[in-house]
Amino acid sequence: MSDHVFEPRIRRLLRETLDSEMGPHPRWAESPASLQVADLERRRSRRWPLRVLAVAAVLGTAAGGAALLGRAPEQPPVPEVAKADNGWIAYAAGSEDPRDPNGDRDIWFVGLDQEPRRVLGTDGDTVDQFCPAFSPDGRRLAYAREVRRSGASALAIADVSRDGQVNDRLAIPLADGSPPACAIWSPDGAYVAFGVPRTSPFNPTATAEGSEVWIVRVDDQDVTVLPNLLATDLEWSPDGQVLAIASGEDERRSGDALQDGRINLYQLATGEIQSFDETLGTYWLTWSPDAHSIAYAAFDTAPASAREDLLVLRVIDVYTREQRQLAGPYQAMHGIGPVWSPSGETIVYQRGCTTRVLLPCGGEGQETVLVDGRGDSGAAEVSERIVATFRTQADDTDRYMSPYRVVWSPDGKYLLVVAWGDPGVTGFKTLMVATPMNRALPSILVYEGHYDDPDALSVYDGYDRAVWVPTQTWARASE
Amino acid sequence: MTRGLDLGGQRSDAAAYRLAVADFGAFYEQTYQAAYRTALGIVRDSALAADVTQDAYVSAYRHRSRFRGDAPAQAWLHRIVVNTALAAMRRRRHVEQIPAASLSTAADASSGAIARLVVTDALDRIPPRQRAAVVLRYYHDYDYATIAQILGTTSSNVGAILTRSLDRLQAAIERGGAARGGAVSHE
Repeated sequence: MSDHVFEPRIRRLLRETLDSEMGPHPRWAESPASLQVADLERRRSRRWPLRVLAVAAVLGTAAGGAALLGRAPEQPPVPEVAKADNGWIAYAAGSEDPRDPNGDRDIWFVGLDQEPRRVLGTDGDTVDQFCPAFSPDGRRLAYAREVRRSGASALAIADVSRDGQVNDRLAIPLADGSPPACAIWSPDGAYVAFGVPRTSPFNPTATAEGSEVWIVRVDDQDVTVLPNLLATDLEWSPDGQVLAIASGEDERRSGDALQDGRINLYQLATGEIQSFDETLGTYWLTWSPDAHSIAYAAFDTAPASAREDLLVLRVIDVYTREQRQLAGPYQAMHGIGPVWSPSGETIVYQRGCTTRVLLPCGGEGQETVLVDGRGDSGAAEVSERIVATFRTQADDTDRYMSPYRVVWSPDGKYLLVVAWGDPGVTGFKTLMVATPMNRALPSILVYEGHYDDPDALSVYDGYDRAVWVPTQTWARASE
Repeated sequence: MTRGLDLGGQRSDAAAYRLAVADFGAFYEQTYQAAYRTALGIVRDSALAADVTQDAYVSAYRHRSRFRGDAPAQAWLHRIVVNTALAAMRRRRHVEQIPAASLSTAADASSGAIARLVVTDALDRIPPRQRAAVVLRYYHDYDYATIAQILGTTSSNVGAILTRSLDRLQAAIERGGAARGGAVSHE
């Protein structure tokens, strides 16, 4: 028990203060609580129909949805089930600024119950290692490597052991000064693909001319170059036969985006490229696990939406070309494009906050939104769930941490949210929280670090010069 | 998940609780002022405290079957009030600033009123969860185990929270008392 000298005094002062405040005291019969209790009793008398309606109301709410306010916890034990299929999580740490004396970027691994450790690079080696991407079996890691002094750039591929030991296997050199090779693996692990955007100084007019997409067959390092594509996102189809590329041809809109961005499908077997003109404005994309559909975020081209920064989220059936809109128009500033869950049930994306009553979002603050990925095209509304991360600080206050990007766990049961924010007392922090889709389970705080620490996770994770969504940073546990 | 309080070693109040739920209105009338003051001590705004108190009673009614009756009903109610108040603070914090010192008015210039202003100013300087611990301990006189149950933490952490809170309150009250002409007397 506390023997604080101030105890008797605060006890007296508090009683004087609170006892002086009688406050409103509505009689029970006239109180708002009484009215609500009466309403509860009426509903209970019609229990079954109203239960059904209550569920439908949650599933049918497009704008409000059910909000899951998941506070980052004080490191509860990691359930064994969470670790069964889910292996290492890779991230880049360090500064992307070559003039930063804090050093270059290195790659680190962290596990659900394993402390972070550096696996590639050292302090002061003046080599940037970043953009880590695990092969689907979790046994290989592709990453971008750049030597700061010479500008030499390469795509590197390393072997990863079950215990997280990393050994370089091969490096494919790129022309000096090339953009980083931020690669994405094909489902069978036979290919990696990455974009080579040349918007400046090679391409001062900012069209797709001169930019490329590279496809590398890993076994023999055979490279196929797809010319004149300025990719803002890339993803292999689940069967590995098609590479979907978000790219336009000309008229830069803002940043790396082209006004006429659209979905392009490259057929691996024939080399044919098919463009979907009805997907104008496409910037990010993601395949459904059944390979029938692509969800994509596109700049809103409706005449009523003149703002350049508004997006809409749509799904297109790649066979019938039928489309449906899942969300929007919405504003998004940071790097979560749509990502389809491994189960196919859910699509996650990020937008500027719409629920300010619940979340302290403003400025760069964003919210992570889950929508039902299984709806049919006739559905009038789409269910929605917002995942929010609060961090409890040492002074017992809760701070909202703004999401930057997300990755699904390989088993699809957790969503790893990479978030950043100002907890108030100790400066900006970055953290990773594994948020369970089963709301009965606790969230897992996987990583937390100070934003300015030279060894801290970078929310960009190396994707500052390559804009597609890093979706392969959480490995399947290898045998 | 809400669980009934398990206050091993404390007096069972099951009979009193059963009586109370038999007439929830009477339970409301008996406990309202204490619940309201708990809410007020945490949210620091009389209108919001009134709303929180009403919401807490609705929640208590909804979940009354989960109360095991092995603890005082008022402690169980205070757990609900505290949770409702903390949730309201989290929501409201993002919408607007909570007006400071809404418990008293500056026009009421007696030394007692000034002392209350100093106390409310000081309460504003600690986080809502710490305010909850202070109100539960020094207004309601709950022991550490009960406060731990209400706040969902451990008894040792309650001690740490209270010590930290008292340090900050003492500093704030002494600074505030000096600024307002020493209206808060030392003992």
